[in-house]
Amino acid sequence: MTGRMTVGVSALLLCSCGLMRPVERPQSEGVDLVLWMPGASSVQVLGDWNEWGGLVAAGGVIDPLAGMMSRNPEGFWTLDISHLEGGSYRYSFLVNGHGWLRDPVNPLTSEFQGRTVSLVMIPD
Amino acid sequence: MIPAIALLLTLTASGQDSTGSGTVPGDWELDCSMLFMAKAGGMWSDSRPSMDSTLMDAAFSVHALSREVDILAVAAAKNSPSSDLYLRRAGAEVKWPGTPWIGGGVHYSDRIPFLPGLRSPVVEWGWLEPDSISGFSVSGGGILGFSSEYLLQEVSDDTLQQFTVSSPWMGFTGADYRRMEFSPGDSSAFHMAVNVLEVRTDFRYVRPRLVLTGGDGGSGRWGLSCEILDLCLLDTGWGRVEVVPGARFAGDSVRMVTQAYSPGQRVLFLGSYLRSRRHMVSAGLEGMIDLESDSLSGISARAGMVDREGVTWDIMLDIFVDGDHRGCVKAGIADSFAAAGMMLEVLDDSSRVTGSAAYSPRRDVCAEVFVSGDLDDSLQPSCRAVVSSALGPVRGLVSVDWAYDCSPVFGLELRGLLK
Repeated sequence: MTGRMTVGVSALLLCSCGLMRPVERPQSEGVDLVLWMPGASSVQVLGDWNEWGGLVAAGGVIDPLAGMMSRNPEGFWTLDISHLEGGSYRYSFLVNGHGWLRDPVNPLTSEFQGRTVSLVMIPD
Repeated sequence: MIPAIALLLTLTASGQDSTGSGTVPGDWELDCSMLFMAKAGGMWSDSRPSMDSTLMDAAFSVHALSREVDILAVAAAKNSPSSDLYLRRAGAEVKWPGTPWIGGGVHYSDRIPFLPGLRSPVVEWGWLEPDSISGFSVSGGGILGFSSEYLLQEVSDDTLQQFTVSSPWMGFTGADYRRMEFSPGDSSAFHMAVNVLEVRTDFRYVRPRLVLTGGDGGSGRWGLSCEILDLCLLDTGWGRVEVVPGARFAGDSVRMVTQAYSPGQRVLFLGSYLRSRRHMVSAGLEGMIDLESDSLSGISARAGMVDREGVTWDIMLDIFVDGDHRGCVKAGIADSFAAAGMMLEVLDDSSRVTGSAAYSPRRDVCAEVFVSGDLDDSLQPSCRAVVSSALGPVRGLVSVDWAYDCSPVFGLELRGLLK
């Protein structure tokens, strides 16, 4: 276990030494979810607020346009969620219509149907 | 099934304009759409493919909206178990003229119900098929800003009721009360009633939140979780470091369909998080102390970053005092045309490594390959190849999966929303 996690610890050390520098995130006024995925053909956000794209609504079919993120020219996909009412919401990215992906730059996690997903807390 | 889909396509094609929405007399907006999905799966055996599953689903929606009235109806057809067109979902909401916050509504066959909590839901019916539930809900609101909803659903012979009242945000606090009652058709089976009170407050520098849960039918069926958000240790233009103290307590007989509480739980929680406003980086460290044993019961760490070379790092580690542990380290580099990545997953005594590569010949098409294997003697290799496309509102997917000692499995999927 310890040996296998060496890769992760090394990455953190490299980061703290300044050898890896984080890229700037797209700036916006509201609460944005951001994913760097320049080669993806589509990225959606499925979450508690949109019935997981329709997965837990009558029919259980994911709407291909639900929670659709916008791609900027640099390859960042963004979605403004500042309109949500205050509370905790679980969410996950759906990349290329099939790949569930936890938000890599959000340290808060929860569970949904056996998957580790991300958690966002919207202030009132 | 085919005539039903043909009917839906005809209705969709006869929409008022190319966007499927338009304004009709009386300030009404009409929106028509069709959501469809077609899936097929099969295996490759004896040197030829054999199809063993197909699923077709089409749902036609009509949404009429005015300033005072909002009406939605969804009719659907599936290829199994019957191909008849049936009413899948419907709803009507009315608002008091001139006061959009006063109103009420009726809905038929909405969604799988759940009771949210702080980090995990208090109750979640994750194993139910959405189409296996039928029922209706009534909602209303407006009196002093309060809103409420009553939900009654049938699941086979069982009945599920949910009642919610939400207060308005009163400047520094707001509260939600929810009650869920599950009555099985078989009276000897599991009966559940849960009351949940959630209180959120905002005192400018800190945001305490509390969820109090109580169950009917005996003592010890209660749970309490609370945490204080926005306690800031360091705040600079680059980002901020927050600490979040919290606690989770539960009675000895707590019975929730959830991971939010476990019986007899007495846990203190402390999390510390680095968040950057300007950069794609974050980190978090969480620790839990079990007050029963007076010892550390678990530690979780998360870190993620996108660096200037286009490499995404994602590290997750959970260690529990009973010896269970899991970890995941992901690193991937990407540009507009190609991507490659590696992922190492550790779960207790097993570990698995996955390599991936992707190629995007154009913006709306992506081809991906995943190869993985166990890091022990058995190896158990597996492989997955996927080509996906996103052409406007239509998604297409072709996949092939192969696992060691198994025949290849292929799948086709087409989903779209036509307006």
